[in-house]
Amino acid sequence: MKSNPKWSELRPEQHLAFNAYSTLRTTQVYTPRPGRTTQHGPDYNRLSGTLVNTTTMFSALSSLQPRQLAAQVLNFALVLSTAFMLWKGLSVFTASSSPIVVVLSGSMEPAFERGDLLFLWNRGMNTQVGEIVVYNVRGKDIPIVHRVIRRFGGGDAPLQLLTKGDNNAADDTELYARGQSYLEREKDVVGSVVGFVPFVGYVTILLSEYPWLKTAMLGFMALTVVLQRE
Amino acid sequence: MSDNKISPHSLNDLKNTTDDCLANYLRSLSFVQDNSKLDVRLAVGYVAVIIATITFVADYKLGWEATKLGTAFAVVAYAILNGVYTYWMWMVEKGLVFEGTKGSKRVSIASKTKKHDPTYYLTVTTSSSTNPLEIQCPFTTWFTSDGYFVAQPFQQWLATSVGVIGEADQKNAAKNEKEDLFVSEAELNGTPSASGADSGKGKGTKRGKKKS
Repeated sequence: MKSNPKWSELRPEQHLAFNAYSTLRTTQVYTPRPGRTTQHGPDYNRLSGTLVNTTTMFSALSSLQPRQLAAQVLNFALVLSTAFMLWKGLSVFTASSSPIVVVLSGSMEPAFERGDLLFLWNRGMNTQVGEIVVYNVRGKDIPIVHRVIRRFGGGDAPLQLLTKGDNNAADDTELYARGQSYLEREKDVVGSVVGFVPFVGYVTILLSEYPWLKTAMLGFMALTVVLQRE
Repeated sequence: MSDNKISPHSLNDLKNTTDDCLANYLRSLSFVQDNSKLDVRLAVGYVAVIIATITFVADYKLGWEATKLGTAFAVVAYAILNGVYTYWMWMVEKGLVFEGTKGSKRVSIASKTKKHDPTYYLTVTTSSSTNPLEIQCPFTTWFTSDGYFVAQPFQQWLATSVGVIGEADQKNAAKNEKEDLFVSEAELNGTPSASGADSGKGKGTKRGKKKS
């Protein structure tokens, strides 16, 4: 019994015991015996256990003083707002609208691969040939990370750039908006790549490719922060 | 909260439940609670959150280029407010559970716990004495082994250790000398002054006593 035998291996009297047990199950709540696991159906005992647990958590929340409730909500709001303001702070510091980006395509292999995390800097406006920049195509909001292969202007004239993916056969004129044959450094470029962490960004690729993961994660985080008192 | 069962192995639960009961107890003794310190913290925190929300909405509607300058100011303001918030919580409130007055007497109680030490530490500041009173007691004194809060020994501990509370609750303060139904004589003498090392075993010894 202890080593969880298959039913066919049981001796007759144990079958009898099992039958009595199964008739019992129809009339009263089934509780698994210790040392014996069942292989059919969900573990109702465990399920109801969690339910009871969450309801007591919610009732604990509702029994809080109004001020305590306000403090609890504030805790949660501060977690979110601090994360957002840190991001914005980094934006201000680097002067870039999105200072950290994730590589989504293989057009810059072998320099960058899918899932690499890139750190951008947008304060050096005098971009040189060979630098890797992230830019937005006009009219589309898709950031692209490619290398500068040619520059025009500079100095008093506005700097203009032509880019190309290391792994692509041709330069980016095809990718640019209709009628555009170069990038304007000031307007189009989000920042130059100053550092990268390989592979870490794969999490965000997963999150964007499976949106329900995002919802699940957010919901879970919200629940834990609201329901746990520090 | 006191009628809810908690996990007696979670120090957080023990502390939070006891904190709530402490405030309830003092309110029931007609101490008038003064929430000004918590209110300041809430105000600072919510202003910070509102700034972040405005930044978020502006960024969402207008985009980065238009909000650049405003965002820079918002980030600085948020950082300062967050600093004030943290300072207030750690340097001013310091685990404040209850602050209030009864008549001319003022009492302010802060609680804390230490990691892996099931003891409740209180710092009690009263208007009558300049030095804060530091008292401590293992949670096992007022929690049953299955996680129910028992008010009587807790209130008795406070009433006998803190003069201002004792004056407000004569009944519990006087009980110290008499025989008690809930706490045995040995426990009364032993546990309130027990050191941290002893208090860890509190649950085990209690169980042993019940059986004998």
